[in-house]
Amino acid sequence: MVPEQKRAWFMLAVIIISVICFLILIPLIGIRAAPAAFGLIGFSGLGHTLFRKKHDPDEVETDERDEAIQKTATAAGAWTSYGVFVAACMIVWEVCRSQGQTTISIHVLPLIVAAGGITLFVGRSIAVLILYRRGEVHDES
Amino acid sequence: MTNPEIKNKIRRLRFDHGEMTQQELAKQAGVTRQTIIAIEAGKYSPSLMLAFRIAKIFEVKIDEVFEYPE
Repeated sequence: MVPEQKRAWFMLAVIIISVICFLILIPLIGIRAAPAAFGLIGFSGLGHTLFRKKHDPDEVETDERDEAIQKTATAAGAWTSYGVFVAACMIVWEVCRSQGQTTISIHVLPLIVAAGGITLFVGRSIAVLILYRRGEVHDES
Repeated sequence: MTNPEIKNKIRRLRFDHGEMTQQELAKQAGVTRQTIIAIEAGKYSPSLMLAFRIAKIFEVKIDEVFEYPE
């Protein structure tokens, strides 16, 4: 497993933990304060420190395939994020409309943005894992 | 439109060149071993520059390493 794959797994783990914390905090401190749990996602930045490739003079750290995978994964994450953001906006609009509301609570807006932002990282991480997995078929040294 | 799988003879060429390991080829080509593994398995199509570098390592023409399916 290359460091980029380890970082992707770490990112997914941190996001899952933060979502669980968010769900636990809702009944305890309310929906307005519970999104503070998403601050835990900041720990995903440690992935770059924890999962660095050991310096080996006989091997390059990254190459054109890594760059291609990261580029494709970032695009996949961005498009997924955009889709989720638009869907979240439309769902809120539909729910409010069906209940006869003409305004949307400002406390809903950060949740919509969070949904879009989190999906970017989740989508990118999943795409990284899938794209690297494709090449792992015949491993000999 | 899906890209057809480009066939290659890297595995055979490695063995013809003193059973060169994937690691040795990767080092000479300036890529990771995972990339050589993916190319050999037909899961990744290398750039033109990398394809030329691999052909040069084996001292053959590029079409003796890579084959575009008819």
